[in-house]
Amino acid sequence: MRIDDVVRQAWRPLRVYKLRTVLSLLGILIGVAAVIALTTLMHSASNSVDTRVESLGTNLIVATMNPLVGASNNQHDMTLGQAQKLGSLPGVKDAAPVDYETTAVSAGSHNAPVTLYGTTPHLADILQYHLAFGRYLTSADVASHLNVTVLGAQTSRQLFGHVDPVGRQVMIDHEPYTVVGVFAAKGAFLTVNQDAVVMTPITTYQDFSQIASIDSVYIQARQTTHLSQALSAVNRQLNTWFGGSGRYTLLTQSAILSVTQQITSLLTQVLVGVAAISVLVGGIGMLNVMLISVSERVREIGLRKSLGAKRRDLLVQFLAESVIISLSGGILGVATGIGASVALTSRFHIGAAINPTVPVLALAACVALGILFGIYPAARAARLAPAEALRCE
Amino acid sequence: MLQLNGVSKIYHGRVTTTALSCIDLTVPEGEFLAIVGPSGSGKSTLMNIIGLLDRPTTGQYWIDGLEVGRWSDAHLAGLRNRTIGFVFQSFNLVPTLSARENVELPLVYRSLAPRVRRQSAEAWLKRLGLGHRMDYRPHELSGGQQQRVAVARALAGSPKILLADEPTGNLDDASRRDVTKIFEELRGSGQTIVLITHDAQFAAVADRRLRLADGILEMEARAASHAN
Ligand SMILES: Nc1ncnc2c1ncn2[C@@H]1O[C@H](COP(=O)(O)OP(=O)(O)OP(=O)(O)O)[C@@H](O)[C@H]1O
Ligand SMILES: [Mg+2]
Repeated sequence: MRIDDVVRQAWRPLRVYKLRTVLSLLGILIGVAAVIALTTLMHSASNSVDTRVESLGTNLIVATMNPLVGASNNQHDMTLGQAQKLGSLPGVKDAAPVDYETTAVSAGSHNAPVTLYGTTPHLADILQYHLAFGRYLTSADVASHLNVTVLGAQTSRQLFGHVDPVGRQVMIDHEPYTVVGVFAAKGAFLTVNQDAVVMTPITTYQDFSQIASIDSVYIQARQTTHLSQALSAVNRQLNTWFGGSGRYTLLTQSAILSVTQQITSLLTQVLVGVAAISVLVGGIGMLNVMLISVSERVREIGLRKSLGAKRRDLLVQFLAESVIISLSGGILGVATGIGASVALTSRFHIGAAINPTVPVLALAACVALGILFGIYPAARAARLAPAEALRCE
Repeated sequence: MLQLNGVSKIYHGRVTTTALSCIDLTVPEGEFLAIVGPSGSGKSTLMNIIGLLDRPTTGQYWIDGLEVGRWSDAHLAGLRNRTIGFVFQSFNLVPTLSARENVELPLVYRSLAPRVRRQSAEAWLKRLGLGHRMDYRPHELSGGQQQRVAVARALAGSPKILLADEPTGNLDDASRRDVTKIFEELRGSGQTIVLITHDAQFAAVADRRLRLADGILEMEARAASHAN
């Protein structure tokens, strides 16, 4: 049998039985598209989480004082002086005491919900905030307990629109503050909006909250290579002050990263499972359609054999039929999957990270599955004696 | 041309059926043989064995002096393609192909070039009065037209043997006369033909008639033709 005749004989039923062709094509298409969209979405999301954890500040150590539990033998709280002293330990670049509450800030008739931080000048550096307008808090602000504040990008926009608010007044907890600066936009970390913030001197914050103790300190190591040195120095110092009885907790950025990575890898496994199921469903859909079409065509197979078709001729014809279906379904699926990936990632505002091996593998798997499922029923029918096949209704 | 020696066919299904028992038959080249017999007597079974569509349970079968009993399926397919043309009671055209493409089909499996087989197919269709229906698909043709397409397909490969299993069984009177006439014309041409039919008038066209009853071949049909 000539090769052009193989293609011609395979092509004709695809054109004549359009619905059947479209259904098998859809099965393959959906399988491939689902695999690509799901893995890309997962990959992009986990990338985005990683960069956001990193954007929290590099080489970061967070020391948090735990609430007092029962009758502890050490009831001291951390003081502002102690917090600032952590900044001069070996391996440590800066340390900033941080206390915060969620509240609202207003200017005229405008209101904005914010996280209010009481801190020192170093926090902006440690958390990698950059200034859009004005200046940041200074040591003098802290020393003099001044009512000054730096606004997050979103807070500034909500209160003042696109006008530079430096020098204007805002009200926080019924107290007037002067705006001295505005941060550039930073984005959200997980669900924490890092642009709906206001920062004030820790001393001013303590004056109003009537709390003299420090809850947490953000500490930055000099270099990544200094991280463990800084960590053990901080640990030793805190241990000297508060003892080892669980009064404080030390958390590093890499620990946060490894937690988020555990979560994303778990999610990835779940989604890969979902994707595998959709491929299987697509494949079974195609098998189903091919099985029906072959049993409808057993008579035709018998007839072709009676006219001189060899088993091989029939196998090649049905193989060509399923290759045409699964290959075009697969290619359309790759296009759909990539399109869906781009649409979904942009919908969630994360960068699309398409791993090129995924579409290739998905295409190969679906085509292989399609061919297997497409050829199997035909192979069974072609084994019948022509007389038997012709008797089939 | 054809020779069967002690051929029998036993179906081992839910029940065991002896469809043919010990058939001895010789068909010389160029003969037009008609086989008649009641329903269920084994005519189609015999036709399938003669046409290499099924294998006998016992016995030997020669085509053109070759014993085909041990041939592989692929070799039998090749032999069918070159030497046997079929006409079935139920037309058996490929529904997705046009009349011309159906007639070309045996030549496709002979790997003939499209131009060559197209000419042959068109010539046969014109000869059978279907020159104006060559691009019609089977469901767009009447029963008689479909059967004429099937005859054209059987003859397009110029096979040595033409086998027809009740070719007029599904046709109305006018179409039956058409098909009968085609076979009548073929008789003179030296084409070896084995025809199975219920139609006594059709059987009368043949050179020789045999009767099959309960899987046993009888010569008695000749008496029937004398009575005519
Ligand atoms: N696949 C099969 N399995 C079992 N028995 C079969 C099979 N095919 C045919 N038979 C039996 O073999 C016998 C002969 O069948 P066959 O089809 O050859 O009859 P026929 O002479 O062609 O009848 P008709 O004139 O009705 O076509 C019947 O009794 C039938 O029941
Ligand atoms: Mg029959």
